[in-house]
Amino acid sequence: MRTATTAPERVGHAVFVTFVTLAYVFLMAPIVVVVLASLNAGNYLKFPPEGLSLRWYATFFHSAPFLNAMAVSLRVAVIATILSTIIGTLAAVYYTRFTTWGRQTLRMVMIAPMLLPEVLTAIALLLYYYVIGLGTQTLIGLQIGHVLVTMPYVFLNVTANLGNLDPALEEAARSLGASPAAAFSRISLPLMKQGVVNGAMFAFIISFDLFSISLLLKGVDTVTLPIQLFDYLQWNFDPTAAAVSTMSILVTLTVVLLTDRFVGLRTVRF
Amino acid sequence: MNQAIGRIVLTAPRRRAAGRWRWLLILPALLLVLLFLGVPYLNIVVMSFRTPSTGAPYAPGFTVASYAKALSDPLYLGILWRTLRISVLVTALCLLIAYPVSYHLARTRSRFRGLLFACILSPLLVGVVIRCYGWIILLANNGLVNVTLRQWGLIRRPLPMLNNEFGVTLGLVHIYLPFMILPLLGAIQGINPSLEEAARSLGASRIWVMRHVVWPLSAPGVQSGTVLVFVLSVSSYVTPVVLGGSRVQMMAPIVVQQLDEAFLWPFGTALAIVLAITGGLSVVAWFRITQRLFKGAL
Amino acid sequence: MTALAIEGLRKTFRDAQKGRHVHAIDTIDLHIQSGEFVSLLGPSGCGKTTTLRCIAGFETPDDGAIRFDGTDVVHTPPERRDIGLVFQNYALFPHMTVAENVGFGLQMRKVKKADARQRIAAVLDMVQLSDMGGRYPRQLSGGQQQRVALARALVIEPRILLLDEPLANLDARLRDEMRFFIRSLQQRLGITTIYVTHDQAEAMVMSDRIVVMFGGLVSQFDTPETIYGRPASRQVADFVGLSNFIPGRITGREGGTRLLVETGLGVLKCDCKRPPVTHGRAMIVLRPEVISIAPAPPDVPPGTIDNLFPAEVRERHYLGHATDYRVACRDGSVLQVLGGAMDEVVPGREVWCSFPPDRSWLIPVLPGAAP
Repeated sequence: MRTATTAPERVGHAVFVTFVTLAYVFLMAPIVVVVLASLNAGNYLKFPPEGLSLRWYATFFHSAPFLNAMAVSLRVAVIATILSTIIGTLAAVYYTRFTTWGRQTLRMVMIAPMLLPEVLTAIALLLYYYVIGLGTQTLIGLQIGHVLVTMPYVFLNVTANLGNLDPALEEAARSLGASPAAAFSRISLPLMKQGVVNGAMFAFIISFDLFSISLLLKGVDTVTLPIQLFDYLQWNFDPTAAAVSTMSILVTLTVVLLTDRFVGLRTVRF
Repeated sequence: MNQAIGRIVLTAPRRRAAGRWRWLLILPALLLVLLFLGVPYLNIVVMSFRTPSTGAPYAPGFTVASYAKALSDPLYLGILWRTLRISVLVTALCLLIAYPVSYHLARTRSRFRGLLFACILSPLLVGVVIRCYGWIILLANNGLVNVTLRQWGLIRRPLPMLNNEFGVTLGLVHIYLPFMILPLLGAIQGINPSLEEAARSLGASRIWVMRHVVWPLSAPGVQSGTVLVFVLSVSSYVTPVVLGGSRVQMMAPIVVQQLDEAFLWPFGTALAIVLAITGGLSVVAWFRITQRLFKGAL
Repeated sequence: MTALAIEGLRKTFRDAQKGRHVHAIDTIDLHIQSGEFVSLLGPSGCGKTTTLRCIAGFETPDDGAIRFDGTDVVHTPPERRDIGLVFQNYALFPHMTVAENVGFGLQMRKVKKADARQRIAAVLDMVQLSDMGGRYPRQLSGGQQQRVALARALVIEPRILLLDEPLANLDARLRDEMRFFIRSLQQRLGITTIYVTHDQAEAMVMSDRIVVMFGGLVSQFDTPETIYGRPASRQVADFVGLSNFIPGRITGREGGTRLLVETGLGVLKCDCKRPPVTHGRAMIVLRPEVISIAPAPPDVPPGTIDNLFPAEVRERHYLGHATDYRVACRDGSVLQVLGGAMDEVVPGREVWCSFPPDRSWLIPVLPGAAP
C-alpha cells in the first residue's frame, strides 16, 4: 500500500502506526509482566526485579494446595474435553448432514451455552443442583458445567470443518464403489480430524481457565487452579502467584503447540 | 448448472434403513443443553418469584416482592447503573482501540502478520484471573507504572489505579479487546481493497475513504463486536472483584454474593434477571441505533 | 447395442425460495450406443447435470427408467452401478496420495494388492503420470489433478464413464490439449462416455453425438455435423456457433428438396429435406462462413448465381485466421460474414453477397413469434 503521500498523510500514518503499536503493547503487557515477575528473586513484586531466580517455582512445587488445584484442573479439563468432543462432534455431524428443517434453531440451541453469560449459567446450575439434590459435595456438577460450556466450541469447529468439505468427495467415493458408511469413514472422518482436534483444544483451554462455573460449583475442598489463584490473591501478593500463572500459561501453550504440530491450527472464528 | 443446484434445496429422499437411528447423534448434546441449561434457567426464573424466607432459601408461595426490592432499593439501582455505565465505556474504548488495530492487521502485508495475529489471540488463551493479576503487578502502588513514573519524577505520590473504576475499566477493556478485534478483522478483511483504491483514484482523501467506504462496510463487525463486549462486560465477575475490590461493586458479584453467601435465592435470582433483561434491552436498543447509524449497510 | 437407455426421465426440485416445484428434467428419452461419446450440451440450468447425476445415482428421478445394458438401475445405489465419474473440481481425496486415490475404487472392489498395484501403475502410465503416484493432490497442477481424476474413474473399468464439465477449471490452452487427450483415450478404450458441458466447441470436437438441452428438454440429439449444419431450432442454432437468421415465407419448390423462400432480400433458394410446415413461415439459418462476399458483381449473366444480393459493409474486424464483416442489406437487416481479408472491402463500400443453397438451412417459426 505504498502510494504517493503528502506531508500531513505521512504524519497521520505515523500517528496510526504508533497507536497500533501501543495497542499491541497494551494487549501483551499484563501477560509479559506476569511471566517476568515469576522469575523475580526478591520477596516482593518489585521493579526493577532483584535478580533472576526460579525460587517461586520451587515454592509452587512444594505447595500442596496449588499442586492439588493443578491436578484437579487438569483432570476436570481432560474429562470435559473428552466428553464435549464426543458429544459436540456427534451433534455437528447430525447438524451438517441430516437437519432439513429448524437448522437455525438447532444451531442456536447448540451454541447457547457459549452465548449466555457464564456467571448466569453458573448461578442457574448451582440452584438447580440444590433443587435436584445433586449439590456440590462432589465434582460431578462442576464437571457437567464444564462439558456444557465447552461443547459449543467443539460443535462450531467441527461444523465449520464439515461445512468446508466438498460433498463431491463422498460422491466420488460412492461412484468408486464405497457404501455410504465406507465413504463417511474413509473420506469424511479423516478429513474431519483437524476440526475435531481444534475443537478439543478449545474445549481444553476454556475448561482449564473457566472461572465462574468453577467458583460457584466447586466442591468442599476441591478447587480448580483459577479459583485457588483467585483465593490466594485475596491476601497474598508474593511472586508465587506469578509462578503459578506462568505454569498455567505453559500448560495452555503446550496444548496449542501440540495441536499445531499434529493437525495445524485453523483460523479461529467467533 | 451448479448455481441452479445451489439455489434449490434437494428434497430427494435420501433416507435409508440407517436413517431411523440418526437422531441418536444429536441426543446427547440436546439432553445436555436442555437438562443443564434450559431447565436450570427456567428454574431461576421460577425461583425469582418465590417467597423469600429467613431460615430456608425460600418459602412456599409466589410473589413479586423480590423484583420490587431489586427495582426500588437505591443501592441496587446504583450498582446496576454503574454496571451499565462502565460497560458502555468499556465497549466504546474497545471499539476505539480495536478499529485501527483490526484495519492495520486486515491490510498489512508484513511478514509479522502471523505473529501479530497470535498477539491478539494469546490473551484469550490466558485465564482471566491471571490477566487481572498482571494488571495488579502493573498498577499497584509499588507496581511497574507507578515506580516508573516516580523514577522519571513525573509524580511524587503513587497514582491510585486499583480498587477504583479506572482499574476495573482498564482491566475489562484489556480482557474483552480480542472479542472486539476478531469480528472487526473479519468484517474489514471482507471489504475488497479495490473499493478503497477506486475511491482514492476518484480523488477521495484517506480520511474520507475511511469514513465513507470502510466504516459503513464494516458495520456488521462493529455491531457484533460491540454487542459481544457489552454483554461480556455487563456480566463480568472476576475483573470487578479483583481490580475493583469492595469499592467498585458491579452486578454480577452482587448477585453471586446474594446467592452463594447470603442464600437469598429469590432476591438473588430476581437481581440476575433484572440484569439480564436490562442487558437484553440495551442490546435491542443498540441494534436500533446501529441500524439507523449505518442505514443501508446492515 | 444400446449401452445406456434413458426413457421418460423426469425430475423436479422444490425451489426453497419460491416454494414451488421446478422441472429440472422434463421428460427425456435417450438411447446411447456402446462405445459412443455423447455430450450433454446446454446453458446453465438446462438439466444436463441433473441428468448426469440421475445416471450416476445421486439423484432419484421422479419418473422414468435408466437402463444399463437393459437392466433398470433407478433403484441401484451409486456404489453398485459400476460407473466412473469425473467431477468438475476433480474431488480428489486430499488426504490420500495419487496412487491411493486411484487405488480407492480397486480397494472397494477387494482387488488383491499386487494386482491393484499393477493396474494403478498401468492407468497412471496411460494418463502420463507414472512418477506422480506418491504425491498428494495439492502438489499437482490443475491439469495433473484432472488426469488423476480421470485415472481414478478409469482404473475400475466402469461400464460407463461420466464426466461433469471436467475441463471448466483449466486455462484455455490446457483445455484444448485435454479435449484431444480425453477423446483419444476414450476411443482407445472404447468406453461409453457421457460428457456434460456448456462449451459448444468442446462438445463439437469430442463427441460422436451431442444432446442439446434447454429448460429440461432435449432440443436435438444428433451428430455434431448435423447439429451445426441443420439445427432443429433457433435456440440450437444460437447456442451452437454463430448464425444469421433471415425470416421469410416458403413460396414454392424447385426440384426435390430446393425450396423458394421469399425474404426481404428477394427470393432465396434453400435446400431442406424436411421443410418446416408452419403456415409457410420459416427462418433461413446462415452460418457466417457460408456467405461469400465480393467487391464487385460477378461477371456472369444474372440468374446463374443463386442467392446473390447487394449489401453495404458497416464494420470490419480482423480476427487473425479470418475477418469478421458486418454488412447491411437493402432491407436494413445486418448479416455477419466470416471471410478472408480483402483490402478493398472497407466500411462504407458496396459488396455482393451470396450463399450456396445446399449450405443454408430452414427452421420453423413458431406461430405467434415475431417474424
